Amino acid sequence: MSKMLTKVAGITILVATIGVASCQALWVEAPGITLPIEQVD
Amino acid sequence: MARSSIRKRPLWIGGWLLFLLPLPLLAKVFIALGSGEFGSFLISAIALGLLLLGAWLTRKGLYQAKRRPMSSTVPFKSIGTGIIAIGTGLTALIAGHNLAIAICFGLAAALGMYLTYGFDRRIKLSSDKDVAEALEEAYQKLERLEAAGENIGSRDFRERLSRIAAWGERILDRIGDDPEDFRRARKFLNVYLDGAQQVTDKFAKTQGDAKSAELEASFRDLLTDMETVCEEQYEHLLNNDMVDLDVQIEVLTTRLKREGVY
Repeated sequence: MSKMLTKVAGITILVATIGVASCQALWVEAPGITLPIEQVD
Repeated sequence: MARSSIRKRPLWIGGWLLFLLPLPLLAKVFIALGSGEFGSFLISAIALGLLLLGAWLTRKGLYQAKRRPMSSTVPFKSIGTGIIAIGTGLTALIAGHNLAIAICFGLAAALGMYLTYGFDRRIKLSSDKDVAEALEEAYQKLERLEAAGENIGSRDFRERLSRIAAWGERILDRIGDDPEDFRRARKFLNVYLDGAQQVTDKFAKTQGDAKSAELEASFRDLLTDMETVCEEQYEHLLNNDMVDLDVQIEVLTTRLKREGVY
């Protein structure tokens, strides 16, 4: 059970790091897409 | 032709998530290329390359840890983790984070890798070494069993052997995950796999002989029994049921002896 929980925690962290960073990298500079924060600026 | 080739790395061995997560970067690489931004294209391509290289190395490490525990000399998983950490940090920089945050992203990715896939295990204990050696040998026996099956003309037999090899693989993977099972599956590894391979070899060589029809019927029965034993062996391993297992293996060994294998 604890092995399973460790794996789930690991996968969550991987998604939150690699997945989020990749999406942010795409989001930030994709032509035609502006981040809400940039709109405020 | 249905083949569960164990020479190829099976899909379920893991590590596929690592190939999926950087996919947005792939889109970014093409967008940057399409819009003529060379700098952005280059840095994204490098980050994507690092992440994919890390994923490939990790998968190679996972495969080695399971199938070739004694032959693994290069710590692929650890190297993969390092490269993925660098790739993630670089991706965070591309996403506009500062260096400190990018480093945190990298470290967190390394932690995620450790929790999900673990680091390369060094075999120190002699008992672990015994299990690792036996497993490596058993995987090779399974490969030989499949190779012997490829020389058999009948598609039905090839498919049955393929299924037997697939069950064998599940049993070995189970032992790899929980070495405590090794003691209970010792007979399976030592007697059954050898017997299965030898009987298949023998049948492949005698194909086309005058007595082949009689042999075929006998071989078909034997394969059916083997398949059942494999399936039940796996169930017994799951249920920690030892007694039934040994009796079954004994019965099959007697059968193999009668077929002239031993």
